Amino acid sequence: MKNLGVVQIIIQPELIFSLFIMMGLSMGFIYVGKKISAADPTQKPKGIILVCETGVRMLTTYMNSIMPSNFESNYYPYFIMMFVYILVSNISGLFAFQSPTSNFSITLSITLITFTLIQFNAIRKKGGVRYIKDIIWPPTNILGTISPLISLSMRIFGNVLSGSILMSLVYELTAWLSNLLVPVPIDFLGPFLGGILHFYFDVFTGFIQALVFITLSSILIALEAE
Amino acid sequence: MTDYGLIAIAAGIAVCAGIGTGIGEGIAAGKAIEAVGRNPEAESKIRIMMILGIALTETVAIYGLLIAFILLFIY
Repeated sequence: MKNLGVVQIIIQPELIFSLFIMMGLSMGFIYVGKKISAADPTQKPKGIILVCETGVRMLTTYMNSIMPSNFESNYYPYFIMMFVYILVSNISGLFAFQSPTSNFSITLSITLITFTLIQFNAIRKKGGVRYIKDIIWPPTNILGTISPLISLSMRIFGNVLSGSILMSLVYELTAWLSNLLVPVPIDFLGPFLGGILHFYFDVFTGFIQALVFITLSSILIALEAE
Repeated sequence: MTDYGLIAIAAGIAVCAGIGTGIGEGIAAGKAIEAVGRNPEAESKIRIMMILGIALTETVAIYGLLIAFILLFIY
């Protein structure tokens, strides 16, 4: 009871790394934006402009296939930005970062944005009274309303966290194996076996999970707004 | 039997969530191959849909794995 006024603040390392990633991405976006606005539109794009234009075009085409085009000006850029952020966060485990998406508070907060957008679109479509009536009757709808919050956040969190834990287990295994084969304390099997598995657990799973996140969020939002 | 032995058994049972996931992913991949056999032009679309479906299905196994990790490392 004495310590009631004392608030203990724990700064987790993933939050710092998340800020680093956000700063890096913002600087990259500003740099590319300045370069594009200065570029000559009659010439062929090249270099980083070509990469960014191709990526934006691919993602816009993909979003167009799952979301109606009246969302284009507001929701497409948000989802493309979210895709880039989640992808970079998932891959950042390769660059000696602790990936921000292996922290549940970050995945929960990015899912809360989606959840808020879903409810906002539902209220705007149905109106307040019918929205509340649809949620509480039949009572199973309450579960259906809050289930995207849990499933979307746990999906990214579980995939990234289990990937990193499995990788640490694999490195223990390779250290033990290489100690067994040649009795020197060097993990010489690790780079060979670990490299392939890093490609699967970090790059492939990270890409697929980022894609799954934006696909599911946009489908859920478009479903409520139709 | 010690407490840790019981926890290890519980973790093993939790990973059994992978059984259904394995069956489901196999069915999804088989159906995708059937679809490509019927309509080879749509291969790229079918591949994206199959990977998305498999990633959705895989989540159930990931939940089981997560509970196993929580039991082993935190509990």
